[in-house]
Amino acid sequence: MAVLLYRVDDRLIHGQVVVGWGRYLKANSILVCSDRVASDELARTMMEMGAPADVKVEVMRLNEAVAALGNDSLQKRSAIVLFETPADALRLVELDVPIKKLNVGGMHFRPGKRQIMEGVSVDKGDCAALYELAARGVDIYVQMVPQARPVSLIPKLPCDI
Amino acid sequence: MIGILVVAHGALGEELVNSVAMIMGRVPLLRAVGLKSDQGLDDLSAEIKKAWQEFERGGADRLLVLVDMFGGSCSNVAARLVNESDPKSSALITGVNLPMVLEAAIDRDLYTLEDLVAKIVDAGKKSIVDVRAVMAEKLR
Repeated sequence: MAVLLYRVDDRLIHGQVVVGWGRYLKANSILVCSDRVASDELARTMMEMGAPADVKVEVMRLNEAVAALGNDSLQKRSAIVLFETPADALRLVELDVPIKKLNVGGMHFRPGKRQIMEGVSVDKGDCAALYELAARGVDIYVQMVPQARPVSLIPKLPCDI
Repeated sequence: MIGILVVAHGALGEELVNSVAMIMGRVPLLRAVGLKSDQGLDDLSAEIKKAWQEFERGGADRLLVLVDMFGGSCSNVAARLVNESDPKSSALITGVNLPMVLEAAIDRDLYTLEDLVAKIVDAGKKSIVDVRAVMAEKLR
């Protein structure tokens, strides 16, 4: 599968992804990699409904996604691959999925997180996963929509979390 | 390039434009004109003309007007202006919603004005969905 974009976005499939990135990159497929969504039929259905008819949506558990991403028979797919959290992205890297660049789109504020940029809040677990991704050579940048300027995320992480 | 002007009652148009920016970033040659409660229709007409001229200065050669409600004041005023110009250079669509403005902003370079209008009308219609019915179908 040809991957056009790996993205962390806690809203997964929504306007910025479908319209912003999907149309811009001419993606014909969106792969949602999430154990949580894969095991929740309603969440899964909502993901499938949220994309245009000509974009194939698949929701997979992380270990299923590893196999799909390595499958050459899916070469014709131009995919956007979505994760809910940096930890999920890290799981795939640990399982040898060659992610070189990781787009961070939405990590919204929740109690226990600290906002570091507009639309990006982190807790201890997020920081650990992001540092580990960076240590493994992944270039991590924040960019909500294609027209925005990408900003490198690691230098923005707080050192006291 | 096609300039896109959203004309609507109150602040609806401005906020549609702001919502487009939230989803795809700032878009050139896209703006809104609002009919305010104390505003006369001649004034609205003048504002639309002014926006059109500004678009032309900004490089637009055609104008697409999206208005909120067929038969409403915005629609009537815009219809008069569009009617005065060449059909190849301007168009007017009513019933504007967010998917329609997005469609217009994304696809305007790819189509003739006429084809773009058809795409936007289609996108607008398809965006109206009885969600419970679709979910019942999917979850069956």
